[in-house]
Amino acid sequence: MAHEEKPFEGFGLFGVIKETAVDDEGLLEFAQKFFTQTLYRDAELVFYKALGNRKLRILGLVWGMVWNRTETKAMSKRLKEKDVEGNMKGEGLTQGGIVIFDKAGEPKFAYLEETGKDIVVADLVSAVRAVRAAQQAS
Amino acid sequence: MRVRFLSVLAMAASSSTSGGVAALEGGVCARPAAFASAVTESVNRQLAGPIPTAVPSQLHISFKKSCLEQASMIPISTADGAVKELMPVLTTETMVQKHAGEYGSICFVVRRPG
Repeated sequence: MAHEEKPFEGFGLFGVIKETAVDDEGLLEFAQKFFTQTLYRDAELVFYKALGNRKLRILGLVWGMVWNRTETKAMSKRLKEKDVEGNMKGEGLTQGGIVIFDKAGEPKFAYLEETGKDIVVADLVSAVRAVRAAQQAS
Repeated sequence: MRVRFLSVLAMAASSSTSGGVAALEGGVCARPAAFASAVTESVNRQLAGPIPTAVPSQLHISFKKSCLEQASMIPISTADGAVKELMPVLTTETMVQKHAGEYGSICFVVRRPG
């Protein structure tokens, strides 16, 4: 079956971050190269709290990388292919995610970041389709 | 080997949806050529597979609009190579409404941009 050409059409896109004036150089690169949509600083970190205030466990991540070298290699390959580098500046432990809102601004679905893993785009497409279908039905 | 830590949901965002949206929709993508093509390839590879007919349970949420709507969201400008916080500060509700498309909006909650 041919897939949709524009699975996210009809949805606006924006982002929230935790802080500024900590790693502005990194933020500039991010905004100019990787996420060219509008960004906001979430002053009260409400999005992070809504997503469970989940903390990245460094030891767990490192152990996972040692334990699963295949996945680690795959992650390194993905980053290299996309010319993505990173640093350790700023608060990077509280994990993020993606929140999908409907037209009325009601949060309908959320993807919780799994650090080190690619997003499952198919799952997001299913969520977006569900939101779109609900709007079309109403 | 230097370990490359990807911050943000960046890898995520960049690897799939944000880039994906731009790439798939032919939008304005100011990213380096290698990044854009890699993202497009990654998204297309995933989308070539089956799409779940029902939204997976892990994407269902337990929070309500009221948890978010009155919080302060400060617009960020990165024009002219400098990070600036702009006024006026928006409520979440206003911010989400401002970016609503025909059917809704998608918000990337970034772990760390750098």
